[in-house]
Amino acid sequence: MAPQRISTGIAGLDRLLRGGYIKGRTYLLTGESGTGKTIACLQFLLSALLMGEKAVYVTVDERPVEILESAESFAWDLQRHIQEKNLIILDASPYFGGRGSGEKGVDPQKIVADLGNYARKLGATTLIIDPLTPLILPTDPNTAAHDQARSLIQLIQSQLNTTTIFTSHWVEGTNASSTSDIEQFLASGVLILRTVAINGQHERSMTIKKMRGTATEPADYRFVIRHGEGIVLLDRLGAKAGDSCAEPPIFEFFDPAKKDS
Amino acid sequence: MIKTERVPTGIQGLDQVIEGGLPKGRSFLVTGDPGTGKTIFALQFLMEGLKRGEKCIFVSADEGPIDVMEQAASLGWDLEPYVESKALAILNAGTYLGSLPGSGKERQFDVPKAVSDLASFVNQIGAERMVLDPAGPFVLLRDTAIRIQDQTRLLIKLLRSSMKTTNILTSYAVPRTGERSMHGIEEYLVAGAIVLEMIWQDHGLGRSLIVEKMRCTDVKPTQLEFDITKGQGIVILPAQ
Repeated sequence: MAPQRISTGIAGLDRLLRGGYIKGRTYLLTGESGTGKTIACLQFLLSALLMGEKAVYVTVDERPVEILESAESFAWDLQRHIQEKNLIILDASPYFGGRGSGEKGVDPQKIVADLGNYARKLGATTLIIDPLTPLILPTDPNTAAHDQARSLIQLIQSQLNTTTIFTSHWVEGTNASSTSDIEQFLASGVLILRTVAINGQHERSMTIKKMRGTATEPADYRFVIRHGEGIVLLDRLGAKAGDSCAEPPIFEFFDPAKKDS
Repeated sequence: MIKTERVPTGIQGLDQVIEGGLPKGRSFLVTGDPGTGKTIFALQFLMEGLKRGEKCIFVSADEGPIDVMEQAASLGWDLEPYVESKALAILNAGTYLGSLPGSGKERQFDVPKAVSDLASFVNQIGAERMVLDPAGPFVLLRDTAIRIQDQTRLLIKLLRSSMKTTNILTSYAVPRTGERSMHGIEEYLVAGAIVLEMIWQDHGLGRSLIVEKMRCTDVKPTQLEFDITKGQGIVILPAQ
């Protein structure tokens, strides 16, 4: 039986992913700051809410009100979903004794237990953690970050049963970061967002690096961020012209002025 | 007390039976075999809105916009001025639906995307009435009946949550017995269902309309006989 999928909310991506993310799986969005990770999270969030899912959004670096403001800047209304009790935005910074207070690690058991309480109260089926990176700093200096990441992700998968999106910081060219490896290894799908220079022009690109259960070729796609629409995939980088990701319009508007053409 | 706002269908004898019209903002199903008058019902519903100064959308899945306008014209309804003044938008999904492969590998029709596209048209013109004629192709998947039901539920739910229009969905007749979901829309998902039929009578073949279901409405199950006349469309005949 074909797995149930939830639209990613990103125009052009669903078609490549045969309908969207697979329900109940874990996905990783990674990229440097400013590449569009939070926007991609918000697009998925709205798509899930539209499908009647309930969602928990965990923010670490930004305050919940800043997430609402980012959404508003795209004309996306999250307030309504919060009022209708379909969405809660959790601020995870208290785990770190307040923002910017440093590098104290957090116990994954405790995080998942706390998250689980909120998720169950709401009946959440969708979880977004943006970003995951601060939550996987080890509590104990003898534990490697990737062990911390593994136990956190596995606890979430076994206890919450949500469709989960993580973001993580990715620094181009540094493969030394063991955490991003383990996150990628544990996630069912990995999307990498970057800004690349092509002929002196800066372009945004999305790499579908891994997508379990979905026949996709690993490839880079050019995208733009538009008001009201968010991320929109345009075409495959290095592809011949006309090989566009844009879907044909579902509805053609009948314009009598053009009816003879 | 909450009073249900009504949207007159423009079919007088019907509006009388259903307390003035369809409950506002919901989706209604009009089913019947080919030739029983589903498209005419839908056009009449839109004409009534247009006459009242409401903005309307006709979404066609099988026929081109010109065919729709021709059919309206054959009943004496000139849609052209409404289309030109942008009071009526005719949207054609035929090309897109035709591009979905006919068999084999299932390619899903993306209901949320379709509804969000529709919602942007609806909001653009401020439409109050919408017709999907027929609605079946929007929910059909080359998959199991359960998925069709899911898609249908999703379509109706999304129509309700993303726009304020009152919607008529037409669908081919659903057999009275056995499989009720062969061609798409489950009657229990919509706020009301109207069945159009041809019936044999003493004086030959006649047309009939049954209100099978109408939320928020005290309607006795009655079979209304009707004629289709130029200029007026569906005219309910007085009970004998």
